[in-house]
Amino acid sequence: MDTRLKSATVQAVIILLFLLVWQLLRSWNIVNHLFLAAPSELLTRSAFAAFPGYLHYFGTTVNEILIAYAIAAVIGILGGFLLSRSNYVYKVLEPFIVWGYAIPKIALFPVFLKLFGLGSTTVIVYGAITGLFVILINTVTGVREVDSHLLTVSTSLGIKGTKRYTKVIFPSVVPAIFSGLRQAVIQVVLGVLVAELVLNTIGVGDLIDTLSYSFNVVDLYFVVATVALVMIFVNLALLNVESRLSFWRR
Amino acid sequence: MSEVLIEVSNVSKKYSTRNETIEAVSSMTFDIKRGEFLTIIGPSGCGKSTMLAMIAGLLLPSSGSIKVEGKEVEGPMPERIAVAFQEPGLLPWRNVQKNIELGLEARNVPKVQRGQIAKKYIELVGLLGFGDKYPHQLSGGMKQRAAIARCLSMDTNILLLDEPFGALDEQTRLLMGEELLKILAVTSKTVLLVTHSLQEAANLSDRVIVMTKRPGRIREEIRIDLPHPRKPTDTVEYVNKLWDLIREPV
Repeated sequence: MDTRLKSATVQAVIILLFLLVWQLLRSWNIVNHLFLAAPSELLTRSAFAAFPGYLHYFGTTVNEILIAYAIAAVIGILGGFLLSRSNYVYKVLEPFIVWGYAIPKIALFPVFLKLFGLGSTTVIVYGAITGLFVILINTVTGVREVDSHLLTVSTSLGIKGTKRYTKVIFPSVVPAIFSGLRQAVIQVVLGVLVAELVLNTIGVGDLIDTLSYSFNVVDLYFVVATVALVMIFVNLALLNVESRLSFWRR
Repeated sequence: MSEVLIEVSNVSKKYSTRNETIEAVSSMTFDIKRGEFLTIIGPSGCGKSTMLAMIAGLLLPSSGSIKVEGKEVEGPMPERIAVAFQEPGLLPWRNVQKNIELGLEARNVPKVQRGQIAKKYIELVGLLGFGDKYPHQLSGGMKQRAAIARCLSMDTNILLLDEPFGALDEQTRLLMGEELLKILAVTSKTVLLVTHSLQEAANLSDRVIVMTKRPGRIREEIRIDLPHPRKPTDTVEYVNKLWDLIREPV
């Protein structure tokens, strides 16, 4: 407990130093106000006042993220289980997943653009593809790494058929799947924001782009900070759930 | 002479790898009578665990036949045979109580009844008060007790033990063996034990089968007619005899 408190204190100091340096970069005018807004400026009433006007960008983006994420999760988990059902299927298809994972998805962006047009569909498909592989790979690895001794013991106890899945395989794989799902949140958000930014369809990615070239610096940093904070807390919450789900792993 | 429960006739097991065929067990014939405690010992790699796995129905013989309670073994028979292994094979996400209930779940025993049965065996193996603990919170010896309780909860006539105390230290192993005998005295089981410990074999068994090096055959059978409980000093003569049989080439 003492060491945890110590490291928390050091972390707080690092955050304060970061904010201080950021503030001084503006206060001493080391960086021009056209490029950087100080933390103090983000906390003013006018910054907050402007925010509601941007809410519908956030609404659209959250909606796209949820749809893309749902697609990635369903395909990733189901695909992962199907793929690891037999050794043969796994051996044949595994390289494709590895290749698919390795390809920088942004390089394929023009293809998605041609296939799905300039709108929301492309954003969703692109977001789903960026998130898919991490879920798929985690699920496949999880299923393949189910302790074979547990399966032998269960067999000797008469566990077979559906019960083999519900009582042994699925519970073993839950932590791996959840870890994939957590990492995928970050990937899908990245994919959706990038797609919006490139396509300039309504959404937070586009908002950031627009605020940036219109030199609306305070609002720009306000939006960016909001996205950053939301994602940090989402990730923390998911890490917390993950460690609860895998309490038996240590 | 009492009734034969396990009948092994002329059983061989061959494994094929890419470039050779290995014979692990070679024409073994023996039987185990109701209430008997039979131990198989032999040099490591002699096929003693393979023999046990075939009786358990987890492996099929290449030739020969195995009958358990008069029925040909074609797969696991959880209603007749319970197996404990060197690795306890407890599901890490289930507490002790729920682990013991696993085999009963396979049989669709109602929840309340499962709970009662599990509690009874938790007490019998000396784990009272540990029912809600998870495997990672238990010592090696306690995990093995839980695994044995799970076996006993299956309420079979036959218990197969594949080096169940092999991973424990010498003292714990001998103590656990002694306790096992006490438990068996109240449950009246027929037991086949596979072990590499001569002391364990001499202390626990009514009869010991000594196997040769691979391909494993029966070298000799020794009957041990000593009353229980036996102290290590009581069995010196038998341990020496077993040692000579293991050491000397045929």
